[in-house]
Amino acid sequence: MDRLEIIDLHKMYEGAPLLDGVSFYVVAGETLCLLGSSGSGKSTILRIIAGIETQDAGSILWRGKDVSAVPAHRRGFGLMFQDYALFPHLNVSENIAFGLRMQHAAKDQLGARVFEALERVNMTAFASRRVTDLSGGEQQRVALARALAPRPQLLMLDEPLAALDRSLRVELQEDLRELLHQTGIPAIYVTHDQEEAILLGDRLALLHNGRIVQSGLTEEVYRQPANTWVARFLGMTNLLEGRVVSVNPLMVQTACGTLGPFVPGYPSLLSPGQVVHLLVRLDGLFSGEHQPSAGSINGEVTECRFMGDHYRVRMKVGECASLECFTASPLVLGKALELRLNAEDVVVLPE
Amino acid sequence: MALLAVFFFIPMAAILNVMFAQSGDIVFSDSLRPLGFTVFQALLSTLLTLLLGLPAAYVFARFDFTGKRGLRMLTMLPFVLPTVVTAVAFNALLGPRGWVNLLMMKLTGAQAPPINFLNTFTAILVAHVFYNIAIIIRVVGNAWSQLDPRLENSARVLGASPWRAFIEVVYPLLRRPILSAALLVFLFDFTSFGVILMLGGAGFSTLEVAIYTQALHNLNLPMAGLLSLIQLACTVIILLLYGWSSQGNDVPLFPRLSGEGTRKPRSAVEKGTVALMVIILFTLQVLPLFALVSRSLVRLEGERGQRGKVQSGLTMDYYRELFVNRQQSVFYVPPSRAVINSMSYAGITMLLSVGAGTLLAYAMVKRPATRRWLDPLVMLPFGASSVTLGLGLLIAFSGSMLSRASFPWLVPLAHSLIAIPFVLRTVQPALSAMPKSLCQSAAVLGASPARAWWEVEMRLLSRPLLVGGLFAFTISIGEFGATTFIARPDNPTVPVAIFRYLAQPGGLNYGQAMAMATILIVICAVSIGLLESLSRAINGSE
Repeated sequence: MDRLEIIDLHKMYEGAPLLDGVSFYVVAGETLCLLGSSGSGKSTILRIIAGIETQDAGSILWRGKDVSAVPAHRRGFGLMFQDYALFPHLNVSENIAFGLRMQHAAKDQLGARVFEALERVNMTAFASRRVTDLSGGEQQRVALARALAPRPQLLMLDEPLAALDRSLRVELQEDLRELLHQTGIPAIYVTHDQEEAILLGDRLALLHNGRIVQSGLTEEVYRQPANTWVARFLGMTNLLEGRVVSVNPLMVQTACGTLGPFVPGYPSLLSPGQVVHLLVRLDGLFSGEHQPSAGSINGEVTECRFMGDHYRVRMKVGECASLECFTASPLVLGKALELRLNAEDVVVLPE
Repeated sequence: MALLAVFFFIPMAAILNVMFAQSGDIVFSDSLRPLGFTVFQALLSTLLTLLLGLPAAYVFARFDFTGKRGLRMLTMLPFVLPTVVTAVAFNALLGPRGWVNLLMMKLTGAQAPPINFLNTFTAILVAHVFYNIAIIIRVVGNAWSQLDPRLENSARVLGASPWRAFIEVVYPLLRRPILSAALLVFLFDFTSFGVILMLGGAGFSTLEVAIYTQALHNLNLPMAGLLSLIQLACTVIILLLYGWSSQGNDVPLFPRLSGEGTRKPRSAVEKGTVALMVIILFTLQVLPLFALVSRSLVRLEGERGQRGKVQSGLTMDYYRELFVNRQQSVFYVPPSRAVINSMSYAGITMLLSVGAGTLLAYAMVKRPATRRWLDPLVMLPFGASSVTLGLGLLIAFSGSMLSRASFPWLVPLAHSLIAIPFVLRTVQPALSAMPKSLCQSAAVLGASPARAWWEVEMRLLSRPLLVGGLFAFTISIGEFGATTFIARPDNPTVPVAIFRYLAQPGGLNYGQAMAMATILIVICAVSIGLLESLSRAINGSE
């Protein structure tokens, strides 16, 4: 089975560990989104898998065999660089044909396969254009076609949409998603944009401080972030700081008094006295009466924004914390609120 | 412009005039042999320089290693060294009295020097490579280090072996820089004078050397004039080719992060390549200079009148002797005088060429239309060899009374003509890169035009001007070809004085030549060091 597994990858960069034991896998038919802030070593991982850089320690298994010693041009992996790295001295179809020529594809097949690749990205009209005359989005498509044309066994994309403006990005995300599922080869997609990750990733792997802090199905990761960093990185900011009072039942002391009991989240050991954050879902307040309560929160409305079909209310909780929630009708600023907190809508996150 | 017209085009016209007016024996076929040899040696030298320079450029562009900056500076040094010094340096290493021969004579007990390096074709080739490898390293190395390494990487990921990636991606993108560097090297090899005169000896005659011998030894000015014209025509062709090749020299693919393309050598092969390159460059570029400096400090042979009593050891005598007139001859000029001459000529050259170069740069930037015809015109004296220039000046100004008084001015003027293109090439980009809004905002802030020019433009231009000035100074210090024609016997410059010392027999003269060459090296090394740090500061502040 087409399966790439990375085991315990280490890499030093300028005297400090950049990758400090990275492990993950990706299988055929799925797209793994590798998320991390810039400078976290995401691109380095791709370059190591491609064979352009070498790891200090760790192994890269393709179909169960370590390919670390195989040079880049014999690995048969495709890599699309962030700013595409199209060859400026070749035109569009020559760029796409490059990988095919390296495979010694027959001359008569060459034209057909280049055309096929161009068709896939809707760029057939551009075949003989100079790549330096193309717009950003067009370059991106050509780069994708070039990466796919030699039919790589694995495709890696390094922030392929980062250089484009927003509207174009949204349009291309859809195309990419379709294309990646069509090919069915395992794909690793590097990005720092959580929206892109939700849309394109079947699974997520989050890289932080040289390690994968969490990996799993996209939905699972969103529902159960492993820690505060993951939650913040994925754009979940509705956090309330607290301290664990007891583990069983799980009670947490916050600015709004002691809340709980909560359901323990992602497998992690919590101990009394530990600093944690409560992640509260935006619709986790004001929910139905029948759900088990985890106490109530007192606050004061500081902001109320109309969002189309609902209102988004920000309220001050305690001295310095704040939480957000959705409401169906507007609330007056300064109004005191007492809200029921549903245990199921709260995740207890370690630091 | 007037300066250019008077001191370049009048001499050239004078050459033509002399050619047709004076009766002389123009033997057209006699010019073919030097021409053929010139082209042949220049081609071969260029090829050899490329052969060694390209791997060196690769190592400099793609790898980090200890001592890289120092080595880069050392490889630059020969490029600005006067040809005379180059010749003397190889003489000190491989000549009959050079280190290698002395050592081998000592070891084998042979009476005659075993290695016959001077006056061979090899000597010319080696010296040309020594001289010009810096151009390849600079031009190609810079382009290479700016080439986005991801292009090479994508080729690798797409299935190209390292060699294939080089042939199909790297080479096509570097072709223009390589071509223009090669043409520049070819031009320098083509117009090479001092190296061939001093290392090649009588057996080898390029156009330059032929002009020199026809004019000064055979006193056949028409023949020299014909050779000059052939020479000029060739250099114009090369210059046009060069201009065409450096046009649209676009390798615009800067890596996003500086230093992204370079890394430490990793595998054994890479380490070996880097080490080998460093050793080769060190041997080629540094050893001759080291030989020269050490030879000026060590006494190995008996003095005149002390035959048989050979004392060897460290000595400062050669430097001391520079200030003593031993021969008591009328024509003898103490070497210290030559040093003073050189320094003052260089100072005047610096002022003249910076002044003229800046004016020309302003003319080109403010009136882009003038640039089309001004640029090749200014580059012409640079391409027209120094010997041709010297010959022209000699013919044009030797007779008249006017020139008698202004004769000492001829040397710095000739040097300025050669230096102006360099100044122009430094100042003009800086000037055209300066945004107009700077002066405008100074005006809005209440500065008069003169004030704005002085406080804003001149401040920003001061560094490029200094760089250009240093270049001019260095060129003037080392200039040999034109100076041999126009420097009067009683007013030699340092390179001319060295040439004279070398031509005379005796250990003392040899040592003095070494000592003076060492002084030149030090001057050049200091200005190269200044140039490097200045240009780094310029790049850093942008």
